[in-house]
Amino acid sequence: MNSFLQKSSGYRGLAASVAAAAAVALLAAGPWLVDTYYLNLMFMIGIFVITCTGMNLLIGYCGIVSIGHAGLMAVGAYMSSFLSTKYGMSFWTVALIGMAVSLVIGSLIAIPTIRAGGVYLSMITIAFGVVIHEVLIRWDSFTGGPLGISGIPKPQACAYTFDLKSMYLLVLVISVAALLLVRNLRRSAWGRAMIATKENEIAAASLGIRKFAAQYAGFAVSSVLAGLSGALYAHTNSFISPDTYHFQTSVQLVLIVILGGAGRVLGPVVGATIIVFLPELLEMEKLRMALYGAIMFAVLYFLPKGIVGTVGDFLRSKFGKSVTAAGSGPFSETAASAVSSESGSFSEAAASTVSSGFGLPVLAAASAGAGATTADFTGTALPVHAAASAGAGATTAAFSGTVLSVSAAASVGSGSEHTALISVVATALPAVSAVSAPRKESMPEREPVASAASESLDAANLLVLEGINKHFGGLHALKDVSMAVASGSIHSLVGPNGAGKTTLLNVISGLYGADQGTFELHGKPFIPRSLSSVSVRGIARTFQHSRLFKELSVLENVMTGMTRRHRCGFAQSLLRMPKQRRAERVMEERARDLLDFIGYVGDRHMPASQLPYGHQRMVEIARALATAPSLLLLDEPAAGMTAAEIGQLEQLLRKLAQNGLTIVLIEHHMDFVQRVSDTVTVLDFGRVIGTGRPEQMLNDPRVIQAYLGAEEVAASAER
Amino acid sequence: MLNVNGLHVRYGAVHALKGIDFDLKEGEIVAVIGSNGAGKTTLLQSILGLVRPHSGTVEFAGRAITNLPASKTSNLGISLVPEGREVFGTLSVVENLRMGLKKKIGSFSKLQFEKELELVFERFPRLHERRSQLAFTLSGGEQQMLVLSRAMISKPKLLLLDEPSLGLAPIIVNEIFETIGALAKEGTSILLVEQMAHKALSIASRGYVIDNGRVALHGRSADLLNDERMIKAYLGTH
Repeated sequence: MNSFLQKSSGYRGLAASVAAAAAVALLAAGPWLVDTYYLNLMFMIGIFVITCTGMNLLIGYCGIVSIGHAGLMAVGAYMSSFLSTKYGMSFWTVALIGMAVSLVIGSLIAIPTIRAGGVYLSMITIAFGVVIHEVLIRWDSFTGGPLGISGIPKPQACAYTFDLKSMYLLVLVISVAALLLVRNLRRSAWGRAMIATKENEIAAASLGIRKFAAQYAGFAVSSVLAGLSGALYAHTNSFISPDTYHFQTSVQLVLIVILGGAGRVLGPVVGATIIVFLPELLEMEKLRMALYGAIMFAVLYFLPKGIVGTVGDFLRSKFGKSVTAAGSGPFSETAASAVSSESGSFSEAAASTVSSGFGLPVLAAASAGAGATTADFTGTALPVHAAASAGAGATTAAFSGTVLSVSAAASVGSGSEHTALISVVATALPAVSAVSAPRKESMPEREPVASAASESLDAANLLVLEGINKHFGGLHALKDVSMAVASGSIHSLVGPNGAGKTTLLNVISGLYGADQGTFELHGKPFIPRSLSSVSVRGIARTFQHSRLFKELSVLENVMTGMTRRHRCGFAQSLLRMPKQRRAERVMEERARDLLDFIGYVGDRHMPASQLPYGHQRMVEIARALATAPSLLLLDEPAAGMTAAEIGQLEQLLRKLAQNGLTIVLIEHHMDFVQRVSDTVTVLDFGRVIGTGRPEQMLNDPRVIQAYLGAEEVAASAER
Repeated sequence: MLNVNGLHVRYGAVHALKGIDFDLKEGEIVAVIGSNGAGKTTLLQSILGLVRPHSGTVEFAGRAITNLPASKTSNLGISLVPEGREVFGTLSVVENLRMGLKKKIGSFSKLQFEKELELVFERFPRLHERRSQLAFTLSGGEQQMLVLSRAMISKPKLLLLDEPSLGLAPIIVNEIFETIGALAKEGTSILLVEQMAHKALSIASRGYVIDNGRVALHGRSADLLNDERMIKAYLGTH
């Protein structure tokens, strides 16, 4: 089924490439099919496509709305025109200089302001556009003042002088190239990093992704493309003046991107075509700006995803592979083991859901009636589904080492009224698997350094906190917190809401700086300066509320965790060089392994926004693991999970700890904490009120009084 | 009070609810239990009118409300407390509570609002201590108390609660559940979606288990608490 889907999407990809090639060929034949008037319009579309492809990168991927890119086009146009008219330099040289100067000036705006971000950055780009326009009018000696520069020579190559037709073809080639480069970038670690920082800066930083690098890269590409299109326009038109680079041109560029669909590769093509043709067709030259305003209103009201985005979504919902309640009935094997007896609807539900969702290594083998069932689990605790057999006959289910997501062999029903399911939990696995094949249960991609360290230190402490204090204004959130986390242990933090648990986690992970106190990691002093610097030191975390990157697919989300260690150079990613493709394949494979490891067998190409809550939490753990940490910080991972799902989570945490990972956990589900933790630290009002074995801490009268409540204890004693 | 018949909801290609039948009597607490993605939140949203059902009917107090938007259903007296404690972070506790009044603000005299406030503060003295604090500075438990009180001030006939225990310390969870029980005694009907199945069933009179968009099991709480299948899948061993 999987391979079939891949194949069919392969065919679809091929069909799309053929269609694109045909479209480009048709456009290339344009000069011989249409008259000069239309060719001129098509040339203008090409110019806008080049600029807006760069802006699409900026608006759609980086989330930076620049309303000053006409200024950067002007820089390219004036620089190249000045040099070629004054010094007679060739177009090819001056175009390159124009691009370079545009890059420099773009960088001058971007470098100090990217940190400000958002609205401030947009305001600065507006100011920049206005300043450039004023400069063009006033700086007579360079720009020719309000009259502009005329008599700009046409480009030449080997005694051939380009005319409109050949310029159009050149622009066509460049726009196709620009589109391909942006498409490559979207499919690279750089593209994912851009979207990640746009969507959730904090989560991205916690994975070691630096916002500045990603966003500056986007700004740089858009500056270069704006400079290039400026030079191309100037040398085709032979005349430029400040009017061309008015504020309204900048607005027009943004409109093209939004109308076409920000973040969609083909968006600028559709947007530019409409924005150039519409005023001409309606003969509304004088009302151009009013028309643009109306279009902007219409787009924001009716097509917030732009034309390409809306049409794409519609086609996907119409012709995309149909999903039956994607990923619902998540940890359905356990549900199945509980419910597959009598009720018809129940077993039907179980049977229909085993192919999707999560299946952690809860291996359920079932035998009923006279049948003898041999379940031979060799190797890993990968997502192996319930093998439930009922009725007469022998079923042998053999799951071998690297086979991933063996789908359910569930033959429920068929006359048998009882299907007794014996759940074999993963911890019982060694006994079963001792029969054959060496066990391969190791976590994909363990950092060798980390495991070596944890071996040599073994019983030592991985993380030691000493006298940590943190104030928020008048609130003393952490008061002299000291804590030692043993290597390879699961250490839980419990305490009332507002006790400072999350604050402590935020301080360790570098989100807040501590006011006072010392940290030691692997026995060496350690200062958690920022999220990304802490991530580099091998500490990963998840968040109380899921912070997955919603626009990225499940697989891409996990891949963002590998950005820091596997990202290739920017140029390599733009050009999709062989080395970069290899790195991408490695990342994808590791991400798949990690998803297998946590037991996710649902659709991996589904946008994360469509994942049910419980799955989001599990995928977030996989993403954190992708950074190859030695310490994992989890903030309420079990919140909102059912008892069965919590059971799966417990298995996962055990497996991780067995692999040498150290885990610090904030959790309110007390029986879960009691089962899974090696050590429990209790916080109240920002102070540690005790650390010890879970059973000891949870029976401590102070803990009962502050946190559990007498009733809860009585209830759990009953059980 | 509330009757749901053959409710189907689709999101594009995803068939989220596949024919849910469901009822709730006046002053009753009914628990809805199920795994993540089973369709519990969708059920609440389609009752309130945030999601338009594909087919099926929803009746509230003898009136068909199937396709009514949320703005209308909330005027009829249905109130949702969404998952994840959505307080107005930069408003004070009292201002948040005032939001519960919605359009009644004109007809409500200041004095009456003060009375309402007194009731809230009597129930949750902690909110009184923090009455002028901005909501985002409250702890998770206090925020849950606040959203619950905000919903109560709108005097709903039917209260829809989406996972009120999420991320709360056990002692606070008990407090919240006690309050829910007290509200039902005062005559509010409550539909309680909860992952802590044990706790939910101990205050509810009946429960529904939703699995993969269908009602897989329903019955009196006492029966469900002793049901083998329930124990394995949702109650856990504790």
